[in-house]
Amino acid sequence: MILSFKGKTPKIASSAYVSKSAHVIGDVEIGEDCTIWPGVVIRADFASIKIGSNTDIEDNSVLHVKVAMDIGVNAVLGHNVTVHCSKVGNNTIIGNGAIILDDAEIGNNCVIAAGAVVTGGMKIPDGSFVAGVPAEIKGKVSAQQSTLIDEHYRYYTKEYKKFFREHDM
Amino acid sequence: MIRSFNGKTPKIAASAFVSETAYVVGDVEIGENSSVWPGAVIRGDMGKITIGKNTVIEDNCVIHSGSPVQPPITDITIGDNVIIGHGAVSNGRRIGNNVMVSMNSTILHDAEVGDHSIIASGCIVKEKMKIPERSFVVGVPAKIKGEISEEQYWWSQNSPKIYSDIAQQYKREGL
Repeated sequence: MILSFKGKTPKIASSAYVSKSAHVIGDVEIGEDCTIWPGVVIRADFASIKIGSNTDIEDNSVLHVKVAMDIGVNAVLGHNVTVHCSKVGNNTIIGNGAIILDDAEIGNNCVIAAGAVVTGGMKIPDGSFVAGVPAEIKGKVSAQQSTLIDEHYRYYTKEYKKFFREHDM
Repeated sequence: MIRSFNGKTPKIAASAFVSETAYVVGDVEIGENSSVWPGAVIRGDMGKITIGKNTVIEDNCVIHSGSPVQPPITDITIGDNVIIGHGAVSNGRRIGNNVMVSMNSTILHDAEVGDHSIIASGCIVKEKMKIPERSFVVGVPAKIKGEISEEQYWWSQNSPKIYSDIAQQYKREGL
């Protein structure tokens, strides 16, 4: 469901897939080849939300902001992730059920573990592996972890997205 | 919303209840008297998802097949008399019978949970973790704290029945 709010209508690239049962509201930009799965809520009512190309936002995740949010390219937000921060970098993976609080900034090529709670204002440098409640930087992303993103693309092919887009799902 | 994907249509038992605001897609089987509550997503697009009988998938859960682990696994199963609590996420390979996966917990890819186990709220079960039968599991990341108590065992035996009664009432009232 794509809704305008206060005169702002989501701008969604033609190659992106947005599930019929996702909610995309207000001042939102979604780049080429993104996938937005069922139950996702992207609610840009207080400020804008910009999502770069090829980014994947999985089922039931919620994105909401007080100040503008910028999500990079090739990022993956897992199932049931809650994002309330200002920046998520390129090629970053956020694991299932993680929570990213206000004004946090996550760099490029980071892995945020499932269930982590990234506290307000936390700044995470490029290439960090982050886990825990509250979240701590545990070290650098390993070569094995960085292949996760490559693996992801094997599944989310252009044909796969096209099928969902064209079958009204 | 129930949708076919890649020629596969969800097979849902006649007595099961699937909320009209849940989203069930692809190669999914749901057994007798099971229930799927509002906002739940059961996405059988990268492999088959088999859900047994009397099993409860509560509001806003996500169950997804497929896995990025090597070698990749595709199909996943959830047994009979299982409760997956509100907001929980499972990519796990196998969840046994009479398991309780509590609210907002996460079961990662290729994990296996034995019969009668309880996964506490907010728990993160890491990839490939194998949890034996009757385990009580807590924490981020998850640790096995011991065996379940007699009282917990009673709940794992009886709570699916309580849920299946209320699900039948939802069904009768056309909700």
